[in-house]
Amino acid sequence: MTTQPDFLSRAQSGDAHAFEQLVTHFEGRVYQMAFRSTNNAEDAADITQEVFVRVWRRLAEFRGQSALSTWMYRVTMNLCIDHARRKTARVQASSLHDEEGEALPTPDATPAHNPEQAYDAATIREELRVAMETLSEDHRQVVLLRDVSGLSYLEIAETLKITQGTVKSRLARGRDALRKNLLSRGNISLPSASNQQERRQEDAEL
Amino acid sequence: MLNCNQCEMLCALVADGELSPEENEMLQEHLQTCAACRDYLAACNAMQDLWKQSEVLPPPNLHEHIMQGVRKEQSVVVQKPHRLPRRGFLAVAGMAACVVLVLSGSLGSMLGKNAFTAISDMSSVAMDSTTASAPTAIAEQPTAAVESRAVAAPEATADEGIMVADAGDVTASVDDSAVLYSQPAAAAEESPVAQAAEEGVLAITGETAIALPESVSEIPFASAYLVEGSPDAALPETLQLLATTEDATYYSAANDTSVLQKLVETLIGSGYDVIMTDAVAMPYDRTATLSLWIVENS
Repeated sequence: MTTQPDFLSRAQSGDAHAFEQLVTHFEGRVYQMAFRSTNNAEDAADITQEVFVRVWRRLAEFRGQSALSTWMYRVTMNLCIDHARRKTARVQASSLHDEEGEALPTPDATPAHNPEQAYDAATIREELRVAMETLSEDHRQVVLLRDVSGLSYLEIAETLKITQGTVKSRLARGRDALRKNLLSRGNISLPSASNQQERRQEDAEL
Repeated sequence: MLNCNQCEMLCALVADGELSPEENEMLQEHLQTCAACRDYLAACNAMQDLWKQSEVLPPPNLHEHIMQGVRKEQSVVVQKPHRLPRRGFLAVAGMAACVVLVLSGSLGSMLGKNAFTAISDMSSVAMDSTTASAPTAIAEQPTAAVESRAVAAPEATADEGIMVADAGDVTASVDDSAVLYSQPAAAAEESPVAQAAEEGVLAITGETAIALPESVSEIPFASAYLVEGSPDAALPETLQLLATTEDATYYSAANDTSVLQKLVETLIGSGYDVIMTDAVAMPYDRTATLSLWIVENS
C-alpha cells in the first residue's frame, strides 16, 4: 500500500499548490460519480467544481485525508441527489408549459477512448444508467462508489457509515441485480449464468 | 467448503482484490468442482468489463473549471459585524485586555491563528476607550489558549456529514457563505471574549465580499489586516502600495512583529480602526514574509 502524499495538511497550512494537487488527486473520481449520476458532462463538471469549493471552504476542519475523502464523496452523492430532484422538478414544470419548456440536457456523447468505440461506450453507459436506476438506493450507492469511483471497501464503509460486511453484501447483491436487469433487456450480450439453477441441481444429484 | 450461494458472493467481489487469502482459497476450491459458479464468475467479470468499456473521460478543462470556482471562493471575504448593541458595552470593556493582547507584544505569534475573527469590529470599539491605559503585561499571556481553533461554521447541513470541530461551541450567526473561526473552549473560562460570546455579543450578522485583485492574490501573505475610517492623517510610509480598486486600496508590509506592532499603533493613533483579521478569508502562507493591508475606501 502506497502512502499518499499529505496534500491535506500542507494545504491546511496555506500551501495553495498542495490544494491544487489535492484537487488533481480526487477530481477524476468525483467527476466519474457525478457524471454517472447526472448523465450530463456539464452538470457533472459543475457538481465537481462545487464539491471542491466546499472542500476549500471547510479545509481547516478535516482531521486527516480519510475524513476529507469520505466527506467529499458523501457531498458528491448528495449534490447528485439534489441535482436529480431539481431536474425532476424542472421536467414537471416544463411539461406544464408545453413547448415553452426548457430543453432537457442532452446525454453526453463524449467518446471515452477511441472514436471507433464511441458508439459502443455510449450505448453501454446508457444501458448501465437505466439498469442502475432499477436498483435500490442502498445498492446503487455502493455500486457507484466502487465500480465508478473505485473506492475501497473501507472508504465506502466510512462514506456511508456502514460496516465493511454490509458493503460487501450490498455490492454483491447490487451487481447481481444490475446484471440480471441488463440480461433481461437484452441490449447487451453478457455471458449468461441463467442456467445456474439447473447446473446446481445436476451437481447436487451427482 | 463453500456452498454455491456463498461462492456467488465471493465471485461478485473477487475482482475488487479485497478478499482475504482464505476466502480466495475457498473460492478457487469451489470453482474447481462447480461449473455453474464458473459461469457466474465469468458473468461477473463481464460486468466489470462493461464498466471499464463505458468509462468516460472528464472534459479537458475540468481541472481549470474547478480551480476557477475555487479561486473565486478564495477572493477575500470580509466579515463585518454590526455595531454592538448598547447592552454589550460592559462585555466589550472587559474585552479590552484581550484586544490589547492581539495588538501588542504577541501579535507576531498570533498571526494566522484564526481566533479573533469575531472580535474584528469590536476591537476598534474597545480601542477607542482603553488603548492608552491598557497594561502591556497582558501581552505576555501565553497565546496557546487561542491556538486551537473552534469552528463556528454555519450549522453543518445534515447531508454534509462529518464536520469536525476541535472544541468550543461559540455559535456565530452567519450566512452560509463563510466559515468563521471563534474563540476555542480552552480559553472559555477565563476569557472575556468567550464571556462576551456567551452573552451573544459576538453574533455576526453582516457580511460584505471584496474580490481580491489578481495582482494581489498572486502574492503570498502570512496575515491580513483591514483598515477602516477616514481620518485626515496620511498612511504610514511603511505600507507599500500594491493595488487600488473601487472598494479598497491594498498595501503590503513586512510580516515582522515590530513592524506590525508599530503600524497598528500608528494607524490607531491616527484615528483609523484596525482589524486584525482572519475575517479576511484567504489562503495564508504562514512562511511568507509579507502582510496584507486592506484599506477600505471611504
